[in-house]
Amino acid sequence: MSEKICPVCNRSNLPNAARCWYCQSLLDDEPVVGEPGAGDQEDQAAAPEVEKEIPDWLARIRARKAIETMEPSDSKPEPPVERKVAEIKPAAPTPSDKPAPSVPSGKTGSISRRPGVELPAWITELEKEVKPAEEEAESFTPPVEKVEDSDWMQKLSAWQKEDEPEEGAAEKAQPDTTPEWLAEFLSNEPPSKPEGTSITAEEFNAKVQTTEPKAGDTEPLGQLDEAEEAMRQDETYDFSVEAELELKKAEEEIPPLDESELEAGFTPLSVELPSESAAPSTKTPQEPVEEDDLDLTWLEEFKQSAAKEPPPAEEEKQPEEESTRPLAPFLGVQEHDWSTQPVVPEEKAGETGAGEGEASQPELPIWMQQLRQIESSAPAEPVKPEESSVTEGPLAGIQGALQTSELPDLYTKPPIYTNKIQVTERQSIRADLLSNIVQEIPPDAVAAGEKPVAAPRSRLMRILVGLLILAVVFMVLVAAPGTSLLPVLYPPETANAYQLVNNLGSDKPVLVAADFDAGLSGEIGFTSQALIEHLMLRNVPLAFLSTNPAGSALMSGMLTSAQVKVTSFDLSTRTVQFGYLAGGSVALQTLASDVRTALPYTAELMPAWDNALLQNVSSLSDFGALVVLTDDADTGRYWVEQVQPALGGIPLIMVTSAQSAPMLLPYYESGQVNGVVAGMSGGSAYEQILNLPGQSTFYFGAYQSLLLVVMMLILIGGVIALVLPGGIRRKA
Amino acid sequence: MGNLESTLGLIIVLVTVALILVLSLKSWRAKHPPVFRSIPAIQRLRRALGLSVEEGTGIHISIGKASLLQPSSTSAFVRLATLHRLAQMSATSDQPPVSTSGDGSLAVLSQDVLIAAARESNTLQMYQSDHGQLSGVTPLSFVAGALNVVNDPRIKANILIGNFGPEAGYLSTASEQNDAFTLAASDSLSAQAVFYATASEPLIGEELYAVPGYLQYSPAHQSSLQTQDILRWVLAAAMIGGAILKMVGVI
Amino acid sequence: MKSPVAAFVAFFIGAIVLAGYFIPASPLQSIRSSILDWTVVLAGVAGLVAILNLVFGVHIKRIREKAPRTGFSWAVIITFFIVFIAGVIFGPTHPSIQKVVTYVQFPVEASLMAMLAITLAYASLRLLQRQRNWMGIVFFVSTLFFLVVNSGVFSFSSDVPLLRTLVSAAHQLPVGGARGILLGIALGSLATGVRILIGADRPYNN
Repeated sequence: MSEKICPVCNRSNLPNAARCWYCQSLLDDEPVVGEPGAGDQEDQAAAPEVEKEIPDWLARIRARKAIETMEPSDSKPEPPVERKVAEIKPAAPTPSDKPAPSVPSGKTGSISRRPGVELPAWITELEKEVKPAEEEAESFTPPVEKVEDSDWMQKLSAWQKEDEPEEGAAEKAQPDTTPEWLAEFLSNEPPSKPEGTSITAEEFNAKVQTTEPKAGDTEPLGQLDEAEEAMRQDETYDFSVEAELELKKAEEEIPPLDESELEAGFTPLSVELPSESAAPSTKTPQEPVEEDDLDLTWLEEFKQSAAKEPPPAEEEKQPEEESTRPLAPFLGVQEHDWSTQPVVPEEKAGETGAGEGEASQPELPIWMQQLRQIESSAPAEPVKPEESSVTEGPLAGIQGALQTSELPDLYTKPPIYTNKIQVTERQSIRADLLSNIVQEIPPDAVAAGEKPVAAPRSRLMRILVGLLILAVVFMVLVAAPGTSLLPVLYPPETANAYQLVNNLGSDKPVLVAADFDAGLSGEIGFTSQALIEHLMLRNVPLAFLSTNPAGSALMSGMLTSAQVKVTSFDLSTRTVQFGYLAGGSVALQTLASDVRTALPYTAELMPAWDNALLQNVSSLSDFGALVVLTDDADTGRYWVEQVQPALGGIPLIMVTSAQSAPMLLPYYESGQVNGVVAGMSGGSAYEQILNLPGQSTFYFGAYQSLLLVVMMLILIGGVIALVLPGGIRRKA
Repeated sequence: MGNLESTLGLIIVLVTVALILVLSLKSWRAKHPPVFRSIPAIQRLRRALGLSVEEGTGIHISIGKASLLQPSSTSAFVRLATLHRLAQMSATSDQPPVSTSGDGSLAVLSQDVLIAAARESNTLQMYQSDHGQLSGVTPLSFVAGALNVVNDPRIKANILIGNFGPEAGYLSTASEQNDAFTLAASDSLSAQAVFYATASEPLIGEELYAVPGYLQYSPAHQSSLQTQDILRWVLAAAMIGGAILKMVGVI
Repeated sequence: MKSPVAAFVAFFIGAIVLAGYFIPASPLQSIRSSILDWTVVLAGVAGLVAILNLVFGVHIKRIREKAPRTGFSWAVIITFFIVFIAGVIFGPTHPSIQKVVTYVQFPVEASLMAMLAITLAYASLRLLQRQRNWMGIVFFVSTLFFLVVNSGVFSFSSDVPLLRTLVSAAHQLPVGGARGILLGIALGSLATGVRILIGADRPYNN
């Protein structure tokens, strides 16, 4: 997988990444790892520092790649280089021309070749040297070997010498010709440089002082401003030219080199290199500025050329080549094919001069070379391409001054950010579709707050059933009161209950537990009336309690209604009201274990066991019997399970509703319950046995009729349901 | 209680404890995962809960009238576990579940369960004091108060699970009239008969105790279902064996 | 309170009560009785709390939120306070208080029970529409059969031995079925109680 190497932090990034993931620097024009040629060239040009970092196996691979790509790439780049050289037009330093576009500092550009503009000599030389690339490559010596110090110095000196002739050569060179410096880069011929050559301070100073611009070179230092201005007036002015000019200015400002400083490793800013003629220009490849300020095609070519040269022999040529190479600012889109053109990375200014006094200049790492390119390109002031200097006013001619006349054009109104939702057309279309879909959904039939109305048919049926039931009951009660089909044989459980009550003495009280709710108190009242009347007739003392709050009140009412028939029974002296026993079945356990603790007071909050009726009672077994009135089978079961074991043989009689009788009858059959009076049928049977007609007998006929009517209704409804197709549709 | 009954009862309790503990072990469950018969009513309950959540309607859970002091209180704990699980399952609904009960202690516990479920699902701000209410202290007053909740048009699912009497027919009938999903379960025989005739999804017998297990409330519930099955077979075998021995004349 | 202390307390108390039920030792019995008394008191207090929540948390809240039909809530609140204050002043055995039960609660609940009969009768009409399966048909047939039997139509069966036997056997059928269901419910109760006892199910520990 090919990756991009960041030029700043030297980390690998995705091939399609535009910016480095780590440092956010632009990744364009950087050599992609894995592409043929680019990485090889970088590896071959790597300095010993990089070689120390890179594993040996990787270095061998890179070197092998560089060797492989060197030969076929020699012939390839010629056509694109020639094409690109043809595009190069030097800027014409004429006042009539338009001001050259301002180039921001650090940017590389290219000198547009235009008629009338003199190209530096080094460019023309490069053009000449493109074709005999092989021969030049052999004689190529790295500029590092020549100069102990930085390559940019060599380049600078090369520019000074070759400016004039190169410009002339550039004039002659047509768009199809390759600049000399460029050709030299493309070729494998490093600039010639004797090995072991190191420049002394005197030489450096001499070179600096005696440097005369060649024909075609840029103007002398004194006239630098004018030339610079002329170039800037050119539309295709390239900031690299600007950089060159800056360098020249810097050279003027540089004091003479001291030997001591040189020995100490001081790197002069500008050094005249002997391999000027052969060294390729350090100027950047000529490309129109407006195309891309970050054009680093020439850098690519430098690297390719550096990668193509044989490593041991040709490393010496690199400094020379680098010296004549144009200043290569850091970033830029390279139109040149890096893979086909040798690129010699520049050394960083000052670094190599520190410890390298030997003739053999080691290869600098790619990153160092790139950094030297950055440093070698003097950062220009951020002058706009349209105006490099003020043309009028008191600041005329001063570079970098603000153009007050064009300030309104420079500064625009700040953008106003609103809170409006930025909706695209597509989104609005989709929103409209969704709203249409929602509106199409019919509203729910049952709105919030509205009660669902039952179907009229269902309501009518319910009313009819109710009316029918009421009609039957009233009809029987009115037309044939007391008429019923009485059983011939009495239920054994009812008969047993009667027998037990009949055998009770009047000395022992009977505990009556009213454990029923108000809803079924009607049926319980009908069912228990005869039994209570029987107890009253026997003059048995009664003690009442209830396990629900309403039971005691209901029981009092039943006693009152029963006393109407048995007037001899005095409720005030023959009954004790314990009231409500809280706790449910837990209270029943307490009652079974210790009745006096469970029932300490009466309903009137009087001490219960001080009553004369209860003086001989200390436990449940001291009662004559236990009668439980309940409408719930579970309640009856609790009494049987919790209390019956503690009764000690006294009878347990249950008065229940018809619905709970089936659940309690097994207890009777098992002997745990001694008597059961269940429902109206049991009550009527008890009344018959007692020979005391009561409400059970009176309403039993209506009850029987109602049962038959309901049975008919169910039968009819079931038959209709079986005959008719479909049923009730289940929800969910 | 006689010694034989006490001893037998204690043995049964200890055996039940051991079975539940063993069947709850992870290793046992991994080797012998519990397999239960499908109860369509509970499956439809899950679907009804999902539909209720999607529609943004409410769920009413009535947990009956039995007190914690009665032997039917065990069904009360099952109801509370079911309430907790249903509250968890309907946590994403816009309408939090409403619980009605017929006993004071049960009402307090149901509020605690609903608050806990709301806290677990970070919907505590949606809980209100009337979501776990005592609708009545007597069976019929409890049903009358719960009818007010059942007839709420926002309620589209009624789960009647607990100790009811025949008066619970009001609730199931009203729920069916409102076209709401009705699942009814009770430990009372009369209520089961009424539910079978009036509710769309009745549960018969001890299926009431199986609801938390089928809703996957916890492994302990599922292991207790397996324990019940084992004890049921043991009881059936004991009854058949005792009947045979009685017929033979041994006992 | 979500802590192991609650689970330990529940287990400890449950073990004592259970042991006191099976082991008739006097120390355990007395402790068990005390614990059960505390339980009764707690249940009573919980009932009072729930009733207050019903009045203030439900009905007053409905009035405050101006829910529909708040007149019934007003009726509940007013009658509650009247009866509560009267019961505190006069006592539960006062004839006035007993009249509230006798003349208000009894007729209301008895009427509800009567309406329940009509509701169940109508629901029974649609039994087979709702439960159209074999179980529903069996339920339907058994309902009809026992309605007829309990109506007293076969009261003459005592004179006919075969019919008497059949009717007697028919009376035993629901008992057997009920027993089976009750046994299953008892096993479920047993398992649930054990689960509570060992702490596997903690509805209190939220």
